[in-house]
Amino acid sequence: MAIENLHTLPDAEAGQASCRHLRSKGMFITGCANPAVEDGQVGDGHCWCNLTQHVLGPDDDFVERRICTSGRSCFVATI
Amino acid sequence: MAKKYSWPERGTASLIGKPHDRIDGMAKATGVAKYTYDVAPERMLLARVLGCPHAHCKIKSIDLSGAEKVPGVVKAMAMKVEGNEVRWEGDPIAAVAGESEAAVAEGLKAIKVEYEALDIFVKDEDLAAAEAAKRTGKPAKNTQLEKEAPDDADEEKFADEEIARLLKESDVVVEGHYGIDVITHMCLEPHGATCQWDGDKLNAYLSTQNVSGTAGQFATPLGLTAGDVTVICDFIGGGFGSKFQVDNFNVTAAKIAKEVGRPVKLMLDRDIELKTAGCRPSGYINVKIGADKNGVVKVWDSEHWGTFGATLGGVDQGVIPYVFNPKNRRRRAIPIITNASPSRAWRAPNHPQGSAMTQVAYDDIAGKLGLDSYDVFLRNLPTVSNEKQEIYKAEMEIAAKLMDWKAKWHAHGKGPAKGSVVSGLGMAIHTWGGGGQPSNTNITIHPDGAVEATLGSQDLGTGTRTVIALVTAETFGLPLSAVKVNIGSSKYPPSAASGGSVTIASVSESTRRAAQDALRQVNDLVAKKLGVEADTLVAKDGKISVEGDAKKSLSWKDACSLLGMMPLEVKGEFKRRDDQGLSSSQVGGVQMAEVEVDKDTGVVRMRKFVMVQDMGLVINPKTAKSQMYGAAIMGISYALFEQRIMDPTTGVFLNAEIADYKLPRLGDIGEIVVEIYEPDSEYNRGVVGLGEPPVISPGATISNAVCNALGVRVPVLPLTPKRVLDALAKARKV
Repeated sequence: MAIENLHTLPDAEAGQASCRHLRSKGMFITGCANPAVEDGQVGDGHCWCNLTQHVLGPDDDFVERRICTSGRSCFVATI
Repeated sequence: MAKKYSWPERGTASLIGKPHDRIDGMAKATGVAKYTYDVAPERMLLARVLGCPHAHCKIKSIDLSGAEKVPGVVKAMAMKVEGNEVRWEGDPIAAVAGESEAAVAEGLKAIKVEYEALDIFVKDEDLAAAEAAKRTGKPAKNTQLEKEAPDDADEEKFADEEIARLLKESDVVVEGHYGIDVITHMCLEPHGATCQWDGDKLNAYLSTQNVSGTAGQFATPLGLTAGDVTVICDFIGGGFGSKFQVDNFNVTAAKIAKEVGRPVKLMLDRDIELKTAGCRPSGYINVKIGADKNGVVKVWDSEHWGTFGATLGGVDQGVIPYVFNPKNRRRRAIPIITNASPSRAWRAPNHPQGSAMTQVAYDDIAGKLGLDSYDVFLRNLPTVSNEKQEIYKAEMEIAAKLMDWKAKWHAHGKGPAKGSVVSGLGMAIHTWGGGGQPSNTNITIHPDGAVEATLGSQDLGTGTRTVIALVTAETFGLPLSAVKVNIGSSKYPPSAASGGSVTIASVSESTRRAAQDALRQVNDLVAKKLGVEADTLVAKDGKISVEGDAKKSLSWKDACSLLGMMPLEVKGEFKRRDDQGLSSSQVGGVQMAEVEVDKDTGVVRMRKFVMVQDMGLVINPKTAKSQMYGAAIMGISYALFEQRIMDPTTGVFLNAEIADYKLPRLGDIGEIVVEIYEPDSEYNRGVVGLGEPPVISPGATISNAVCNALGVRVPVLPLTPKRVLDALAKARKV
């Protein structure tokens, strides 16, 4: 997604699973795969990809909870 | 197993709650402690990265051949490929490893990259420009009103009318613009690692606040399993929220090390560190608030914006207004995307910005009504969002005494002047969660009486080793020196990453549990030996004895000899919400500042800074106060000095060097007074933590003090001399 198109990003659908490789600070503090659900305060919104260790995923696009979902080419489902 | 996990009753502890030096303090002060930057295995290569010089571009080609021809360069490795889009200046494009700093520097210069320039936007303070450039995200809205909209009403129209009515009926209305700029992480030790392979297994000496969570982050991109990676971090030179992830440059260091068969150390240069290793998001707000004649806020209506940098986000609307929660409030939050490095957690994410954007508005109510700011904060306490009204009230009373607030107070802009210098007082209050998160501790008791506590935690500045030793020694009735603490390896039992002010509560929970369980097993052996009931035994002063009958006792060493030939190892496990009273969450704090401002030069001088903070049960007040002192200095720094300055045309970070990115010196700090508030009610809540909370309020506190001195609000932090002079000039024109 080009940077100028990020403003069109839709809200996350409730219950929509994130990619297995999505990472955030809150995950490593709470131990939960989805700290946004468990405890919003320890997180800060910053996410990165476990495969690239960067805020851009393998497809050179942004890593974000609302984008790292099943429609993305590099998406890996969480069991 | 211990029957019930608990802390010693207040007043009965031998070690907990008393001030102790850090057990690793001497090692740190003398250089014996080895930080990641100090690790230097034999035959190690040095590596650096080439950061992109453009804020937004496409890579057309990368040619590394020149770099590898430089004498002393061993390997150059691309981190981007042709066609990649780079979204901010400093994002690493390639890495070079060599025998010396000089060779690596020459190698980086010899890399040839062709770029295609793309459009740039970095003006995050300018909402209209961001909207015109289509760099704004979808706004988040939240409205709460005391009066419910009729079923058939248009809710937005109803909210417009209701807020207009409430503002009209208010005795006073403040309409303000406030803000706080982006600041970057400035850890003394930059991000980086030394990577050393042992066959197909990787040892990574990583500067991290996430020892237990980073082995897997190395493993996946390298095609390993987490068990093949050992992350080691004995000492870290600062993290503050920026060191949870491994980062692609550290993975690159591991790849180069594997390829050349030698250890590689890659630590970021300071300019790349500032440009790419994380920053704190900005926040700017336009707000209208209405209050009664006593300064009690009745209605809040605001729109705020700011940037996470090149990723989508901004200050969460949940912290607007901060701590105070008037019954009628409407918030609109707009994220702005810029060509600047993405933010990372920065000590109390969202809270310093929420405080700096909103508690200044509460202070402006006091200014407009000619009231004492203390009284306005006090009268609004019934609306705090965290049920800590009485705690804040008590902390305000303590802080006011320490500051001598009532004697020093004057109305905004009405104080006496010494030539061009005026003085003022300001205050703010804050909140934070903290508390325990999952943690495991192994307690090992050797038959010779030696005790070890082992867990995969880290010391981010919290005095983690000392706290673990204190909890263990207290439980066994031993001196602090009798306990050896092992932290800093991913091979140790996993413990939570250090973020969110959870470290001390987490490690105290798992350690106390393990130690109490272990003591129970030792007590069973001693009870059998002495012919008494185990429940009657206490561990104190190096002995295990029958309570009230010191004659029936064994020394700790003799007691441990009953273990036989093999050590006893007991695991303490803490899972979230496994509540037995050892930890809890939610703290509050009050801060007050006294400043002097020179109206001719715009320079703000700190005179005195008072911090009163609750944090539940305090394990070691000395290291707790140390955290508070550090937070005060960090807070004064972002209130008066720290600022990322971007060129609006090129998107280049202009002051990305330690010489140009201004931090305070000792003479800029003034007097700092810290006070821990720990009545029985707080002690009995168990451990909470305080890494974050004391750094939240300084921005608003100092801004309010400057406003009190001048009678003019300097709206945006940091309060640089230019901004002070601009605010005074603007006020003169009105």
